[in-house]
Amino acid sequence: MSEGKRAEDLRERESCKLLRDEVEKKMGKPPEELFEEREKRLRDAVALKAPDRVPVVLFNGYFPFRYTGLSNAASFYDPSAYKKALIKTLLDFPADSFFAAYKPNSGRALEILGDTQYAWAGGPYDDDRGIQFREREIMEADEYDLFITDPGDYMLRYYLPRRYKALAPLASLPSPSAAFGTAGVLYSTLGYTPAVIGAFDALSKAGEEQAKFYDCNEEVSKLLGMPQFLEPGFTGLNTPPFHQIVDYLRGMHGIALDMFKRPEKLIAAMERLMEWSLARAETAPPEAFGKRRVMAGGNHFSSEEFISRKHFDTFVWPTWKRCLIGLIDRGFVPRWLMEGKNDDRMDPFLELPKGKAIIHFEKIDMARAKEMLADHICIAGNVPASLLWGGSPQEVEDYCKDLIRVCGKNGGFILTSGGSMDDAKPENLKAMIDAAEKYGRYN
Amino acid sequence: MSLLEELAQAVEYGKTADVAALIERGVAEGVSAQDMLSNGLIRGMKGLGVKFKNHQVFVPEVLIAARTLKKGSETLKHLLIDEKIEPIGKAVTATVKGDLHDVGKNLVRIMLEGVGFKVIDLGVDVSTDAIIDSIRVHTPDVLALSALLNTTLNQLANVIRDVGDAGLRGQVKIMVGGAPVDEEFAKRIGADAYADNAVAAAEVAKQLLETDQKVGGAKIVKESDDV
Repeated sequence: MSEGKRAEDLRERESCKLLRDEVEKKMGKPPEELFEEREKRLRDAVALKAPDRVPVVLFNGYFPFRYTGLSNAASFYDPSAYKKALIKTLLDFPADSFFAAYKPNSGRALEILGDTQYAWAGGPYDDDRGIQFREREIMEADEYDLFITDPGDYMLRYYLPRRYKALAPLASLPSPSAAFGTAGVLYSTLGYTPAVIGAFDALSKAGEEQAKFYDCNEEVSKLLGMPQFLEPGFTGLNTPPFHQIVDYLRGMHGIALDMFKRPEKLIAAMERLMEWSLARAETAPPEAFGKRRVMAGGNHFSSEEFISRKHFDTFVWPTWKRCLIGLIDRGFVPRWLMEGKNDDRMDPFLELPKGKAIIHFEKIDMARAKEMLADHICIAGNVPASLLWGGSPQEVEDYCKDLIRVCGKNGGFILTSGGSMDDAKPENLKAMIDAAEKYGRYN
Repeated sequence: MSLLEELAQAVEYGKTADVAALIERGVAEGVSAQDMLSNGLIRGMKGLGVKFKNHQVFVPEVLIAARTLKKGSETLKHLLIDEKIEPIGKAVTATVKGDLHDVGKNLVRIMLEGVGFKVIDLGVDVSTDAIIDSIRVHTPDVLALSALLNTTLNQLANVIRDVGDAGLRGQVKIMVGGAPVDEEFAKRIGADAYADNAVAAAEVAKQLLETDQKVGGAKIVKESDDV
């Protein structure tokens, strides 16, 4: 080990020790003990038991960077600054858990790949913007059969080259099935032109850049003794098949047409996608049970504002339900965000096993949600992001008090914001965390 | 059912092939292109607008109807030129800077074209400078702006302010829309009009052409009752 590296390691160890002392001094417990205590609180709520008190979760968004004066762009390009901002925020707002949503992503990796679907701060965007996703028709209407026959081949030679500019040369690769036969694998190497090698090179460089960000959340979580609400990077089943097709393959226009013109193809593709994704969701180790909370999508194009209940029942729920049950059977705790209005489509969730999942609501009558789901699924939500931004601490406290009184009854409830709290006033966030302590204690 | 009624129904159900066949039949029977557009295609879209408001149909139904309307209007375009039908006005559409959403804006464009506007669509993530340039170059009657994010809402206000600062506010009526926008917000930022869906937007734009109200006034043009 070089002298420089040794000194850097020493500094790192020293700063971790200082941080540990700071956590212990502030919270009265070492990080490991805090972690177990907080984790138990969350697990009890999921299992529909009453924990010692209502758990409170930070839905971070870009708040940590605004709070610490860092530009959103830096959060995409500087992993060390990202970590510092997260540490400062979580120290100042000691909730039970945090949820980093789209973070962390490396802007450099996205640049190397030439992603045409994400726009991010510091890349195609101004420094203070967040991240936006552009859905578009990547898969043509007449390509359903190609996808259904072999999704892996479709991803390699159609999806990736169309989505990422740097991976465009992969479109010229021969089908992987060409590797059969005595000279098959040699034949298939004919596709490995300098352009294709350049594409694999870009993929490898992007991977290196993303790796610099990948462990940031987990490291901070351990240092501060604050569990992550959701496991990052779990992409096995993170979205219902219907939304995977809307977002990544056909776009809103494309799927709208398919629902009327080729419903059987759409359903077959969703079935295939469901099996294909489920095969990737490895079984969680038994000791991790309860810890592996994973993002299981949401319903941004299947709420009441967008599609009819009939279409929800036909196209969205059947494969989504099997994905959710598949995850639960493998020991995961799926959590999904119900965006928009969903009052008329809550009953399907009663078909899921009891006490194994979390539904996070953006806007809904929470009293009614509690009434319907109380004995079945843990509910989370839904302090409005607009209240955290524009309200007063007293208003936030009153809202949380009411929410805890109604939804906290007998457990099964997690207090958090309805959407990401990017522009929350710090004093309002404090009021939300304090409310959990003040009004959320169970006897 | 008359041919015009059939056309309206074909739009409502998103039956593009039927629309093409009906237009062909209409031409053979001597029905004017203007009649087929206003009393066939647009009527169908208006009917759907009412159903959308009443939650009888949802976004996918509107999207496929809009696609049918667009294809039908394109077919009628050259016939309208033959009939020497002039555009009723000129409109510029744009989603403001920082915002990449275009589904709603595109529906508004289709509806504006449908009711007879010549539309210059600037696309998404459009800077204020580009909007101001387009007012200078195209001299539109109506500027229709869209914002879908809470974070880009203020950009609507910025555009209206900057158009004023550029001395162009008197030349163009500005209407705003998008999920987080409401009538109250539109008034506050000095817009001339607000519409909460694409069908209403086309009606509102037509009314803006007719109204002599002072620009940026507090009065908001209401959508007509039949929409």
